[in-house]
Amino acid sequence: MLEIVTLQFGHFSNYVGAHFWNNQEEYFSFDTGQHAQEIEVLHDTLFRAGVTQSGIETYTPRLMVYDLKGGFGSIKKMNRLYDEISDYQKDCNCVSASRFHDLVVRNWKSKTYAQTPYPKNEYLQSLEEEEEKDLSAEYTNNMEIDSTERIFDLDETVKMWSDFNRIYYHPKSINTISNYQFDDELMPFDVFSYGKNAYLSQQKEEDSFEENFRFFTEECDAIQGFQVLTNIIDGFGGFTCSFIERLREEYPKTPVISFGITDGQEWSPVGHHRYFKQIMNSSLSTIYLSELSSLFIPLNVHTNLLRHGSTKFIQPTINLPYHSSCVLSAAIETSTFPFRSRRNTIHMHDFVTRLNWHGNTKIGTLGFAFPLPMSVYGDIDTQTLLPNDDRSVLNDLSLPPEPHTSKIYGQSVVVRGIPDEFRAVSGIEQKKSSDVISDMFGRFQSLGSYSNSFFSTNVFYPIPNSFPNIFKNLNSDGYIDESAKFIDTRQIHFVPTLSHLTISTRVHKLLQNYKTELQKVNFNFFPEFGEGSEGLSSDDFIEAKELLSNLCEVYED
Amino acid sequence: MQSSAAVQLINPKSEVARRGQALQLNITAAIGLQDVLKSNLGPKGTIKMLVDGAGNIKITKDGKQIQNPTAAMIARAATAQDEITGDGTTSIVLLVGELMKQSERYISEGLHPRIITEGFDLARNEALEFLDKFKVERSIDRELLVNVARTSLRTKVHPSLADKLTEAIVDAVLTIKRDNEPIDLHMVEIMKMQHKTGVDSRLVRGLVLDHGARHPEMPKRVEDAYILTLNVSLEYEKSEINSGFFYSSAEQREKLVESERKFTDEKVKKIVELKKQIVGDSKKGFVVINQKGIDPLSLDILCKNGILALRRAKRRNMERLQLICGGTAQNSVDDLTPEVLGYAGLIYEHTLGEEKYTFVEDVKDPKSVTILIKGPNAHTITQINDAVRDGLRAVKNAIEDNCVIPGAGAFQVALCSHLTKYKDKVKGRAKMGVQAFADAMLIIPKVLAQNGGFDAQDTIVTLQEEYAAGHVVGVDLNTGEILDPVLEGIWDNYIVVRHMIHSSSVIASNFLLVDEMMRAGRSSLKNDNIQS
Repeated sequence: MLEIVTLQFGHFSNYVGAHFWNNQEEYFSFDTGQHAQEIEVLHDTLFRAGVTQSGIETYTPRLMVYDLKGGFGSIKKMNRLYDEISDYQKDCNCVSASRFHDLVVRNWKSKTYAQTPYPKNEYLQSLEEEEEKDLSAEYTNNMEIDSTERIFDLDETVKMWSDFNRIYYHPKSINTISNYQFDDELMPFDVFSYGKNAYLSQQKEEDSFEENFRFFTEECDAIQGFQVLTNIIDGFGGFTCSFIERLREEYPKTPVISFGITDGQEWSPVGHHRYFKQIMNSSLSTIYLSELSSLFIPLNVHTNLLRHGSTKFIQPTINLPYHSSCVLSAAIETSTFPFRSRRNTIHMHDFVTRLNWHGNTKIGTLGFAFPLPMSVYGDIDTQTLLPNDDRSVLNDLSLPPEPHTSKIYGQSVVVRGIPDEFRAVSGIEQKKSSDVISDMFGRFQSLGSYSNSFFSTNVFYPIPNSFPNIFKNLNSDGYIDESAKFIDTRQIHFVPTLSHLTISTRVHKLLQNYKTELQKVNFNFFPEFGEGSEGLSSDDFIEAKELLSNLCEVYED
Repeated sequence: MQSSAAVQLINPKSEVARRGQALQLNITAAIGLQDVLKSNLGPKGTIKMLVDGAGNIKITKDGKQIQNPTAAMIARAATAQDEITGDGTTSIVLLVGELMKQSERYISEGLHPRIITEGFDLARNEALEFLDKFKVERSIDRELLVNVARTSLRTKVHPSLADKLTEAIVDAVLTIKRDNEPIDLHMVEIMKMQHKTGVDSRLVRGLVLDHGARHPEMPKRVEDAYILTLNVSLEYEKSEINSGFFYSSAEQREKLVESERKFTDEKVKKIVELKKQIVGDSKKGFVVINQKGIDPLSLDILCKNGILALRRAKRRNMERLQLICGGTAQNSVDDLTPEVLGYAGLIYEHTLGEEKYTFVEDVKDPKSVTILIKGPNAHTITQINDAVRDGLRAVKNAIEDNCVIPGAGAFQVALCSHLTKYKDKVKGRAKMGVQAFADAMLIIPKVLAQNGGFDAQDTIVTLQEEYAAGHVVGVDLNTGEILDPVLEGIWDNYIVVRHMIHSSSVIASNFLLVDEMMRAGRSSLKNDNIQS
């Protein structure tokens, strides 16, 4: 088994993560449903089978989630799978625990201070109801989801990532950075060094690395690698750096693919004090995470996220984290699919070395066609798949697109949802899937990359009912259909996608921008970066700037 | 004031409070916080159950859980107290509140806060001197330590549970204590086990690892065993050469993979050889505990050779294993000799649901031990864990202080009476500060009595009368009458009490001298949302 352990740091990254895991769950029903041929996705890569003390079998992600206090919304550390005695009142009646309970509570005056429970929106309530039904029906194998008929206004009711989260996590997955409160203006978690200090105190207090992270890795027989989703605009970047530093002590060679995720909404106006803090956070995270990781891919929800060509098929509300995160999540899901595919698996290690054959080019950019516009007959305008075409449908999730071409060192193209057979049109020869695929790959080949990795699968990107309603001009199988106009997402169960991960000279622009902005920073005006035992000295800052300069040179044309 | 004007310029929503108003805010905040935490104090205090928005439960009885921006300073001091001494957080909050309350009386009569703080300084110095006279220096034997631990624990968990833990805690510290060396509490590992009916937390003179063998045929129980501690990867690791980019044919790749595999197997073989060399045909066991990974093929070889192997051990346990079993952890398998091996009489596995535990026990001279905490659910385990940590600190403190202070409020009653006498020697209005300080000390026995359900006034009067008659007495929480803490074995830590006196008076003085307060945040100064 080639296990992957996932690490999520920060609220927006957890939005992306929540979509990711909902999506993984969708594969389960996929397999048992009408599409049951051979199971194409190796679930065990990302998930672990376990059993609770009361004998309930569980299947939960190999995952560490970090968020601030209050950032988990309604997600409990001990969810109903693990804490049968879920509330305290029941605890009092529970016979098995009563003896102990006597010792702890009886004859003791106790007083309860309860915060108002985090309200569960209609969607979560319906998930619970469904589950109740499932439980009472005593595990019928029939996982038919009948809630598809209900309409939930998730755009309005999703305030946190937990509000559309469908799956259960292992208690050890849920890790709180308790020194900081979510959305706290008095004590915001907005400085790289705060993150580094928070890691240190977290390690002292709870040591989640040894107690929880180790729990997931110890059981892995042949770990393939780690995938990391982290915020980099705030304090989480620092936290993640410290965490990965520690991880590297135990796993010096194992591949680590890090996605440095930023919700563009969070940027302060250029030139403000807070803006420079964010620049410092982002650039410090980029410098150190790219050093610690095997691959570092910055993902930004920027204003030019969607290319004109693709807005014909999707129309997300970019300033809703719930929407923007789903696009990033789908891109991550697609580009990493080869790691957990049953057929033609690409080992994470091979994947990384093919992209970064140079050894020191670790920063990549991610392009994503969502959906991959394709008719039922297999018609694809492959020219529009290329990043530098005017009508391109390839959205650039790392950097705003630019006209001039760059030198590509390595690229990995993943195409999903090419059916084994296309529908035939009378009079014209039926298109062969293999031809369509090789046509696409040929296009990407023409970009002149030094190293290529192409992967295709007939597995579509599945759309769970927690997914935002953003598609148009698609039919229910995700093929383009101009007559469909707006079709409800709940009727679309999957779409074809294409991801294009590259290591190229384009990164230079991003790094150059950091470099220019950092030159404007007078470190003495940012004493918060020097706070605590993990704080930066001005020498450290100068050193970081030098590292950045060196990084810049690597990607020069 | 210019500074406040500047803040308001930047943020018009900011608020500024001046002089009397600022002082009043401080007093209100301190007293408010005192009110909230009052009920925590002592063995008859109330346990607080905190339930957050997602329904997570936390049970607490100490003052550490304070989260209140208006009293952030008190909270910080309380936290510092906890870090230095491990106890006394609630008492600090109570004392600060009471010092403010007593001062308020004098200030309202026109006394300047500065005069009061002068009195506080005098009183504090006198109190610290008095503490040194009052402390009881006696041989720190096991019995005394058990009493100290019990006093600390009973304020945190239910007495019957506390009594179960005290001996484990004292024995843990005594086992790891080395003559003429400072006590390192890191040598006491705390292992938590969630078990429905588990009540019996206990001391393990050895180590408990929270993982087990990953091979189904490995022995679950090994006796009389050599222990090899390793930090060596026994996993087949892909190297860049076989990554698929550089090989030209599938055969070539196969070969590379094979040679990589061989490299790992060689390492495992060296371990097996050592085992054969040292164990031979005897019945002795052989256990490998590795900080790095061991893949299934390597496990298989080890298993076939009768070796129990554990992988991915915690880093800190590597150090502990050496202290417990002896031997030296190895970073390479190149020069393995019998000398690097440790020894344990018994190693066995215990499974609870999906969690496995491996006990390494029956060792010769453990320099590190494990306290095993069992509880039916996460929040009780956390509660016990906190109590155990505090208990360990109390025992350590007592040994290092080499003295103890009679508890149950006895010291505070004595101090109050002593300071009242001392006041007469003080010249000028600072007297009043001394008196305020003296009176404030009584908050501790008062609240103890109140929490026991007794009349605070009655109790205080009785205590003071008895003390005047020359007896050292404290509050009996079962009767509301008096008791002799020395006879009952109720002891406080010297260092805890010392810090308590010191920091509470310093904080209170600081508060009294504040004459301007600004806030530029979202929440309001006027909004006293104190929670615990």
